[in-house]
Order: sequence, then C-alpha cells, then structure tokens
Amino acid sequence: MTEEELFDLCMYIATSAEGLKDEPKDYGPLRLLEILERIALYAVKEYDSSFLREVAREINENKDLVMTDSERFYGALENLVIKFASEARQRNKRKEDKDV
Amino acid sequence: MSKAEIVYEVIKQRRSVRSYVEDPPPRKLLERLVEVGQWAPSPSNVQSWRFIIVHESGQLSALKNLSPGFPRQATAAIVICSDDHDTQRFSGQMRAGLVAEEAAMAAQNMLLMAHAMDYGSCPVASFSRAGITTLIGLPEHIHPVLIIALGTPDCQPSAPVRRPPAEITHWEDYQEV
Repeated sequence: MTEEELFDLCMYIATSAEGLKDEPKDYGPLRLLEILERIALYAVKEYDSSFLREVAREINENKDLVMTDSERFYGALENLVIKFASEARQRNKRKEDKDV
Repeated sequence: MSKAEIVYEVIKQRRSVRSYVEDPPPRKLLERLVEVGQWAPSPSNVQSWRFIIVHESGQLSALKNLSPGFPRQATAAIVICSDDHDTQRFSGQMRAGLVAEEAAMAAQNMLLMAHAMDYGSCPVASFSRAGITTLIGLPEHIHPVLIIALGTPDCQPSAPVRRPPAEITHWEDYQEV
C-alpha cells in the first residue's frame, strides 16, 4: 500500500466518521464494508490472496442492497463474517498440523 | 413515440447507477447537463445554483474520498452549489427550502438528460460539506448542496420497489389508509 493510497483511505475514513453522525444507522455497516473492500483491494495488489479478492468481490456485489433490501444486506454481511470465521478455522488447522 | 411517451419512458427507466466502466463522459455531455440543469424551475427566478464540474483524476479521487456515498468507479462529478447572494431576499425555512428545491430540480433535469444520452448518474448527498468546500475552493457565500456522479454504466440496475400510487395519493384531503 503506497503512502498515497493510505492517505486516500484515511481521508475516506475521516469523512465517513463525520458523515455518520447524521446518516441512517444502516450506513455504519455500509461504510465499514466499503473500507474493508478498499483494504482488501489494496492488499491483493501486494499479496496473492484469493480469499481477500473474493471478499472484495462479495462486498461489491452486495453492498448496495442496503438501499433496497436490508434483510438481504444483513444476510450477506452475516455470510461474510461466517466466511472469515471458516477461513480462520482452516488457517488455524493448517498451523496446528504444521506444528505437530 | 409521442413526446409524453418519451418523457414517461426516460423517467421510468432512469436508475441511480453505482457501477461504471472506465469511460469518462465527454466535455460536451457535461456542458449539456449544466445547461439542462439551468432550465429547471427556479423559485422567483433566483438561479442561485452554481455547477462545479470535476473530472480531472486527482481532484475526482479526493472528491470521492470526501463523499462516502459517491460510486467509486464514476468518472466525473458535478457539484451543485448555491450562492447566498442570490437567495438573500428570502429568510428562515423558506430560504433553506429554496436552496434545496433549486438544487433538486436542477439535478432531476440533469439525471434524466444523462440517462437519455446513455450515461449513468447517481445523486449523492453523503459528503462532507466542509471537506468539499475546501477541496473545490468555494468562497464563504457558496455552499455545496448535492453532487451528481456520472459515467458510463456497467449495467442497468434493476428497478427498486415503489409503493402503489393509490397508497400515497389522496384526493381533496388527507385520509388515513
């Protein structure tokens, strides 16, 4: 991640924080997901992570549901968290197998 | 198609586009959008609107970071602003309302025109007023009201759900449904 990319992201986070004081409650999760998407996209430029690439793709595909179908939006968000948990479990297992 | 049918179709097909391909709209389109914006109704013909077109990559990138609601792939923006000097004859709620009404009516003209010219657009209200004011160098008496994101659409979004007209229409007086 370059200094310029980091600067862009920091500006976006600061602006989001300022805006959220007046925006609908659902925009909080939306902004966090947008930040996560950007971090994932920056990361895949430096690391070969099919997991993060998939995360960014899923967020991009589902984030706009917040405007039209909040049930599906939160369903997709829950699936994303499950995806992370499952990935963490697999990673821990791989680490354990390695340590044995 | 009659004029009425064409307008009806353009209105019903327009969507807020949030996904774009990298193909910036030409200068002519941006100028045409400002022109049609200016032909919106203007209360007392105050014409307080000012239009700041942003399409240079560095400036656009900063604008996006100051506007969390702005679609990331959009390739141009028009910031609709209002000039206090033009609205000073009004005061109180009427003045605040007028500023929003002028910007909204101009924006609708622009969104419809963009759609009619096969470009995508999205009105954006989630942005930092102070941040955008600083970025585009607005003087103290000019304020950003609304931003329009523009670009070549990646796809046509599906239609959002609208309430049935009967649910929101009342004749002669308001009746609880």
